Amino acid sequence: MTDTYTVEPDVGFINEVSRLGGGDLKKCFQCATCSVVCPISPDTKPFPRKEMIAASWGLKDRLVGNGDVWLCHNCGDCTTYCPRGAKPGDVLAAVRSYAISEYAPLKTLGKWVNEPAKLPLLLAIPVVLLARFISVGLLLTVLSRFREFSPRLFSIMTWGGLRGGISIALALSLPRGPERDIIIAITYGVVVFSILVQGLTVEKVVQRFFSR
Amino acid sequence: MDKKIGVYICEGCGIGEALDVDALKAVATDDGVAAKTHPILCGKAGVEFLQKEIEEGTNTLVIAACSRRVNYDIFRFDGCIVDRVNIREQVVWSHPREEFPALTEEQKGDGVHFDRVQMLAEDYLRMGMAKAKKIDLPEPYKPETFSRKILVIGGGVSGMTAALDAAYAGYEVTIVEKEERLGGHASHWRRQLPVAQPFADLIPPVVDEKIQAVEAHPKISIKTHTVVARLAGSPGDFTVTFKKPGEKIEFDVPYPLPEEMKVDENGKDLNAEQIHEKFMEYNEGRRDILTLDPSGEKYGAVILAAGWRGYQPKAEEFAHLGFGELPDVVTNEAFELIAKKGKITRPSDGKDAKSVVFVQSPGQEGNDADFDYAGAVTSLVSLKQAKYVREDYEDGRAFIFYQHMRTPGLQENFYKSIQQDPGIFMTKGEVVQVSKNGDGMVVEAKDTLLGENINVKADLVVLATGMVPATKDDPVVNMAYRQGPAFRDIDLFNGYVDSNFICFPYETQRTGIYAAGAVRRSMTTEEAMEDATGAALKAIQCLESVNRGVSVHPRSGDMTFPDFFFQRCTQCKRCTEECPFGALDDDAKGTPKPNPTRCRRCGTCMGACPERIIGFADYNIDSIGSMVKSIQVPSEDDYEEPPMRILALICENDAYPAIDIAGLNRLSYSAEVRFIPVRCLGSVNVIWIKDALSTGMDGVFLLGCKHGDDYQCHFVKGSELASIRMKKIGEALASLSLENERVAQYEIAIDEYDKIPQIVNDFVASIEEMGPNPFKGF
Repeated sequence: MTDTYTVEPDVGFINEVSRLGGGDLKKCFQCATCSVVCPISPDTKPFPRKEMIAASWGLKDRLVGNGDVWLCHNCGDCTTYCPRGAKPGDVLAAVRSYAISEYAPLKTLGKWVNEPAKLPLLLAIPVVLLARFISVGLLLTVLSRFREFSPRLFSIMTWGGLRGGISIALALSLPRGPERDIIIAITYGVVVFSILVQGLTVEKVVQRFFSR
Repeated sequence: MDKKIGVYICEGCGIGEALDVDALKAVATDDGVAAKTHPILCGKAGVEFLQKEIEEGTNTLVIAACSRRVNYDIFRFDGCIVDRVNIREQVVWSHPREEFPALTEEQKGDGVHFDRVQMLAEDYLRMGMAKAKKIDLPEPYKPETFSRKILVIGGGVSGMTAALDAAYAGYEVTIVEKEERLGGHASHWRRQLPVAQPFADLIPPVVDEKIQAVEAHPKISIKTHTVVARLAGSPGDFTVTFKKPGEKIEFDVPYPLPEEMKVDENGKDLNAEQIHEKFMEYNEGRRDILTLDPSGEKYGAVILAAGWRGYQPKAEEFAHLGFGELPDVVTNEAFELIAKKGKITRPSDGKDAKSVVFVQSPGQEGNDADFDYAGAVTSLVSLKQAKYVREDYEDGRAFIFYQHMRTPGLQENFYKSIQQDPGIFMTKGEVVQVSKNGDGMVVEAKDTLLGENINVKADLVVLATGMVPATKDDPVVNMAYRQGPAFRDIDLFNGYVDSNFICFPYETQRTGIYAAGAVRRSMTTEEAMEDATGAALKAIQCLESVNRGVSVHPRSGDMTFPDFFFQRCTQCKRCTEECPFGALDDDAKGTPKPNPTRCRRCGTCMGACPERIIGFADYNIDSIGSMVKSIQVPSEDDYEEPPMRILALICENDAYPAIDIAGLNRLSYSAEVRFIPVRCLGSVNVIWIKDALSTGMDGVFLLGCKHGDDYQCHFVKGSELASIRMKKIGEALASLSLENERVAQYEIAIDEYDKIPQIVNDFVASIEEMGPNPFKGF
């Protein structure tokens, strides 16, 4: 007797994959055209037909932990040839997005990565920190000719760069336009991050580097 | 009428080049018939020429030209007998001169050489003249009393639609419904499948609108809580006795005597009068079929829309699916009633049923068939009912396990829309078992598209059982016909009343009674409504044909009907019993009583009659027999090696067109065969075969439609009957010490023209191997 798998469809998963770009997944009627045209589909495994039914049945455990979805290199042949317009390529991409957020160290962070509104903010924070590191680093390197600095100072100076009113004022002074809103949102995010996260942890950073 | 026969030979389409037309004319003049030629008979000048001939007194025209299947409208001359001799498709086109060379001057009359193609054409002309001498112009049979009212049996969606369509066309209609109110099954549904574009969403049942329309229409009268006790008479003149359901009245229809009661204690056949006596005993309290109810109502045609019932599985039938044992395993019909009442709940404890599994096929032992009587409907119904689950519960889930997902036509759009619901899950697969699992159930399926065996937890399991036609349990129409009150069951259509789904929709095996809706096959409301319109049109066609004395179908417009020479009838009853359409009744003595308006003019009775007393004005034992006898059979007195002569009796519905198409494609075949078209192989009387063999012809074959499970016979069982008769002819041949193989029967479909040369040539070769008929030359 072969193993019998108890199916527990997860409608939430279906809705989430649909939202992430796999909105046509339910159109699949399992004709396997996708498996025929897929250049990486092996003879022994109907890829991505099997992934398509697992998606339309909401079988999260069969997809998110499945390494196969990462083999797809997004050539889009399956999507082009699908007679029902189920877009298997897009569904696989959506499943991968889902897997990213599922396996991210911080789930919220993972989710933000998948959201177009939140992704620029996530990118802005490291960019701002990197810019601070470069500007501080350059200055300290020049000044180090005249006196000696502890190398730890680079970290402390970088982390200690809090943002506030000036950043917001500069952002608000931009002319009207679609970019302005995004920049203001990013600025607020960076400011809040710097005050709340950097500001509240700067003590710990100092202690860590000067405790000895 | 005094016949003045004229033979007209067309020289067009290659006939003039291939044949010696003067010799052909001589065949007619030798017979004392004037013959004329024309370069293109079907052209304007040709037709004018023929009309002039008619004005000068010719009233019987033998036109030797193309097939009678073409230019039939051009060569129709009212008041004249027209016979078409096919020397184009069957002679010159299928026997090219390259293969069948004409004779040189030296070869002519040398006693060795002969021109096969010329002989073929001359024989066909002789046959045409022989036939023209024997046939008459038909006179229509018109019933003395005639009703234009239409009776609709069944007040469901099909019946009401048919009644409305007939009424809109101006006919008086009566609907009989056995329940207290109109509506049928559709009034017990929550919602129904779409009936119009875009065919995407469920709609409220259309039945209420139909009821209102029917009740408001002045030409429709309604009899609820009524059934048909007896339908006597024939199309155009039915006498109908109504009664309340369950009542017993003297005009209840009598049932035919079972076979085992037709013999005495010693197993000897009883005579007609004894059988009638037993029949009356067997049906005590009921009047004989020939007694008409004086208070019966008159109708001209009947539409049978008696509908269906849900299939009720027997106790142990689907034990593996838990039916009967687990209260929450129900049929789709029961599920619909639950859904109609309110939210979907479990019958066992009334709790919400949020996970529902729909099973399309009973499975077991690799059987992938759907439930019996399913058709495509159960697939669509499962889709519909899955939607109910999602309507009732936001977190509801519906699973459909199918072997076949059948969504014909635009219902595909409905499938697509249901598919989009994130809470409906479908897979092909075989349901192996349904078992109890704590509070609920678990459904186990194998061979699924998921690639593994799966279990699904279910609150409710729905079996997609089919639609059993009402006529399965009860004759419903209750015809006072000698062959019985029900339609003859040919064991092919599961008790559905149709005679052939593909070729003749709505046509039952009884003329004047047309089936519509689920009594014909399992179908959706949309299909039933379309069906009803078709059946209504058929009923109207019937009325408008019967009143003019012409056949309804499939020989629409045929004015002939079988004529009986009763003085010589031996009351053998073969015609009564073999008629595929129950057209013949018989009286207490067993003398057949023809009902011409029930007849479809196939001539099966003519083929059956051992006394040969049945015939049509233009098609009878003598006309075909004379054609057979007019074929010249050359013997050794004529030529050193005389050619074979073979007779082929061919069905004019399939074989004749196939032979025409073979000619059109210039496929050639042996020139020793003489084709005679027959209305149906069922009409072939054995005497013709005997005639052929006794005049020295070397073999006879019959070419007709396929019979068996996928039969294509226009008259349902003609070719099958012919094959039975041909088996019996073997004995007669043996008594003449002729080989059985001299007579054969072949099947052909209308599109198999490419097989004609092989069938013909193989048969000729087998006869040549056997050698000539020893009776030749006598």
